[in-house]
Amino acid sequence: MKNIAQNIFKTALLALLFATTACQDVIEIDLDEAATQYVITGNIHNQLGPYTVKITQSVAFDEPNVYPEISNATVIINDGQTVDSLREIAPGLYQTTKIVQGVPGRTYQLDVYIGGKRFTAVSTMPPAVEMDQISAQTSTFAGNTSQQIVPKFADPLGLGNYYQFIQYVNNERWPNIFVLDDRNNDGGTFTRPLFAPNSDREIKKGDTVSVDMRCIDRITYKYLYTLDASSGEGPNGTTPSNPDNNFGGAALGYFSAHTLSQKTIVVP
Amino acid sequence: MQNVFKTSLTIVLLLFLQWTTNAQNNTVSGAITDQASGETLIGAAITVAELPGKGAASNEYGFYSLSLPPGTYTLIVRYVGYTDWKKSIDLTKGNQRLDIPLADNATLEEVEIKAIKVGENIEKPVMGVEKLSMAEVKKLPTLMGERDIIRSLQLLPGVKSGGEGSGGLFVRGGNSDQNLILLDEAPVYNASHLLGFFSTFNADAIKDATLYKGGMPAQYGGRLSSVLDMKMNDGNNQEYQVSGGIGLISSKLNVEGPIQKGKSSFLVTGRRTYADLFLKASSDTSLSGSRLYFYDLNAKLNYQIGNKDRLYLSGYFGQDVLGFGEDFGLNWGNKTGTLRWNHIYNDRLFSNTSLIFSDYTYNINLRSGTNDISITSTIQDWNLKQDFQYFVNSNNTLRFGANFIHHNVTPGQIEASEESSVNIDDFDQRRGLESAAYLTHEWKATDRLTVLSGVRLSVFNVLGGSTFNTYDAEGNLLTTRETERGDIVKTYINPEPRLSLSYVLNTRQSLKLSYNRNVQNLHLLSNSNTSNPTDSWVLTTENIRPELADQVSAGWFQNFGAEQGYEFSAETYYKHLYNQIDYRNGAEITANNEVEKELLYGSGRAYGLELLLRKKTGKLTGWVGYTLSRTERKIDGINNGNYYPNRYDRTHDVTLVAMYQLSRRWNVSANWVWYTGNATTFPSGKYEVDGVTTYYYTDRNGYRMPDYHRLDLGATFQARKTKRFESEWAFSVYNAYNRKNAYSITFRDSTDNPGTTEAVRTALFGIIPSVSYNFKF
Repeated sequence: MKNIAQNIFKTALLALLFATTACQDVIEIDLDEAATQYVITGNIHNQLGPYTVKITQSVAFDEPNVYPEISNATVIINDGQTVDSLREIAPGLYQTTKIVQGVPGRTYQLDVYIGGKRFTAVSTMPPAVEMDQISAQTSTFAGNTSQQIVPKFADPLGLGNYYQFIQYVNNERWPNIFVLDDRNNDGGTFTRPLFAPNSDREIKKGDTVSVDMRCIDRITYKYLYTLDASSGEGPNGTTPSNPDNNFGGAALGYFSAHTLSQKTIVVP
Repeated sequence: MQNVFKTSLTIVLLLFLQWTTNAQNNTVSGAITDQASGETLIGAAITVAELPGKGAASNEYGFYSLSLPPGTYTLIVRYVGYTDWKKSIDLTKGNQRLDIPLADNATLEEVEIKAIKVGENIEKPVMGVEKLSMAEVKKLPTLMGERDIIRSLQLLPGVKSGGEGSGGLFVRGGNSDQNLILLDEAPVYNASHLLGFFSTFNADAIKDATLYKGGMPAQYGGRLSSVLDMKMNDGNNQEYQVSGGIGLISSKLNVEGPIQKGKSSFLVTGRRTYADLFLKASSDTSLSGSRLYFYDLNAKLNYQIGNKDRLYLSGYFGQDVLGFGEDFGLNWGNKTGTLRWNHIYNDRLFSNTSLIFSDYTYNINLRSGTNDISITSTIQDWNLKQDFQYFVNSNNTLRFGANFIHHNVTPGQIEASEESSVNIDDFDQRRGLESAAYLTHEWKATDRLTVLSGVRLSVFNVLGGSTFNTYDAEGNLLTTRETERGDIVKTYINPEPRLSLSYVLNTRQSLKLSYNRNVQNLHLLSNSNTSNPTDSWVLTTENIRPELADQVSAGWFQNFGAEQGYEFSAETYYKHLYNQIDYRNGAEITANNEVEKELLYGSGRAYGLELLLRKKTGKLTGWVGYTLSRTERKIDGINNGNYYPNRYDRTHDVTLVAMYQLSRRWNVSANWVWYTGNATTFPSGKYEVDGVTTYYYTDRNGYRMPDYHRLDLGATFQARKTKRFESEWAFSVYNAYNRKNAYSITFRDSTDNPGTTEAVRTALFGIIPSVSYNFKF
């Protein structure tokens, strides 16, 4: 709900501004070039693997969006029973060799060694929650009609469940971050639409939409939540910062052990 | 600190005894009013021709008291915009009551403004004080035709706006919640309309506005940065009067008159915007379905009972309504009510008792599919104030009193429809009692030295009735405690010493020094770059400690020119702030009952230099102001625990304001502002997470927004004027050379050059001309 309120407020504010005389243009800004940082993203889930870890580097703002891949790193995932040394299958992309399927409740430790530096992250896979269904709803906001996907699921009683949704429309992954916690509806049935504010994308009749629901741990939730808030556009955004992650800030990115529940519909 | 308090109390009591036993003076006292309307005049200066250096000024209720050795004297009363008043009085045989009506000189000498309070700025021990002339506010250029007190104050050194079109005040490095904004003594929590573009104060209803940037006298307390003390007009007690205005986005009407001539009067002022009517006419459905307006209503009654008592009842009611169809609604508003009783115990002891109610509420309605949610948040105060002013003799004035405020904060009452997937209990209500006792002594120690000393003892009781948690530095729960109503959960006691000195070097020069400590127990939590009506006010608790500020400042004041028509001042200040509050990274602040675990605490510092050159007389009046300043915060967990610039830190600020009386009918004005950019956080690199471009940040607020500058022009034309009817046209051009000042700068993937990123500037207001018509009959 926080998201809904904030997003609607943002949209309202923007609508207001544009109702007056606001205008936007692209400008040149002189930005510092910070030292490059390693970016590690990886996940493990409760459906069959293999799973991958990706290692890249940050670049200066003015450069093209081409992020150098880091090869020849040593990447190890340890689930307390198996120590899996990942194999580089493409530049900067490492794949598990021994861990076949993630197990809810199990804690995974990721160790990455790059040129003598070690980066460690730990993530515990939460208990699985399945989506009951997804449906499409039509909503009108500020005179604009749009469609959203509504995942429906029952949150288990007890605080501390965190959810992430990934939406694919005609097999294209939308970049929006959708996260939820059960703070304000513990043990309840959730039917929150996946609002994508300020998006130029649309869901139309006949589109095939798939939704992945992930049960994520708290630090991943906080990471994604902060990442979303920091990308807040315009004057209503919060002061941006690098989100805290489970690498303790030593590397950018995140490592998440999560469950996975998937549903697909064709929008009627 | 306790010792300082005790010692100063003892000294003052000793002095008090000495005066009362040594009183052989006779006193002349009374009220100073406008002859035509009966409005009391605040701060009129009374001098004695035979005794240069002796004098008094009328207080905020127009009352004055001057004690002199027995004799015959010539009293001279001067007040801006009024003809000098002179009368000889016989004070040989006891005390005298003398009410002084002053005649408005506008009808006689419209063209030139005379400097009348010669040297008052030189002599007065208060510094960092700006008194806004309502006559000036009416001449300055406007935004969309709305005369705005807050926006006019932003043109003074040391006072900053939050950015384009912002109605927030940022005084000497403080935040916008650190200003005590009083309307007829009632605190106003959200002083802005329409997301900050307009202030809640209808300039037509305001008689006097005084801003204290430092050296606040001890009768004021509760906020760190500044006090903006505004008094509403009382209402004409001589004849009925209707005035009003029709503007581009709003209209207003003011009706006032006597209930019983010379004794009592009423005043009602209303204003409503109608920008939404234009929206309705729009063919764009996203605009026509929206609601967007605000209104204000000020009302006041006053009644004189005998010549010793006067009652005032005043109220303010304002509301903003913003919405889109039935899907979204956001309403917010302030309500205040003040009942005051002035009583003159004797010629030298003036008392005022106030009972004040103040309420700020916002409400959000959301509907999306089956989710229908309404959130209401309220802050409500009851405030009892007793203030005494004791005019001991012409060299000593004492002011003392007490103040009790009961705060009740309801952060969120949530109503959700049955089917909605929201299931929240109401948030914990918080209650607190803020009490204070104060004593101020204004002492003319010698002909050259004036001392204003005082102390305020403030006590804050965190009151029970809800659940209180404590958290460790990481935000983990330590203890939880259920409390009953009536329990005192925690008590904070803080003495606040205040001291101001003014030393007159000669009739044209003086030096001033001041020190003040201020305490704040109500805090506004905001994580965004603009002030939102939904930012939440929280009370001090066990986790949130009272904010403290110590400020020292020094100033040099110099007048020059014929009739001291030019005033120059240079003031510097250093301020240290304690127990400042900020959010953790990624804090969840809306609909969060445990918001305290999302907070971080630290300290702050602010320092600066303010220069002001003012021309007060002649056809051309105005000022040039310059501010050099810095404001920083140091909070564990932000910026590696190092000092970082506050969001409203900006280094240079220049304002130029000019008003020129072209002819009897035409008055033109211009103001130009230039400032270097506010501190902001921009990326210093980028990377990719899950296929999405993500920005890498280094220092908090390590970058600067581009320089800002803007010119506004204004003109007023006095149309035909008769005894019965007068009218005026006011023209304004905001941002006359249509500069695209950056309201925000954001970063995004470029669509023109795929595979690259770009910076995007949003500019808010281009050139905005406006016209309004004002009338009076």
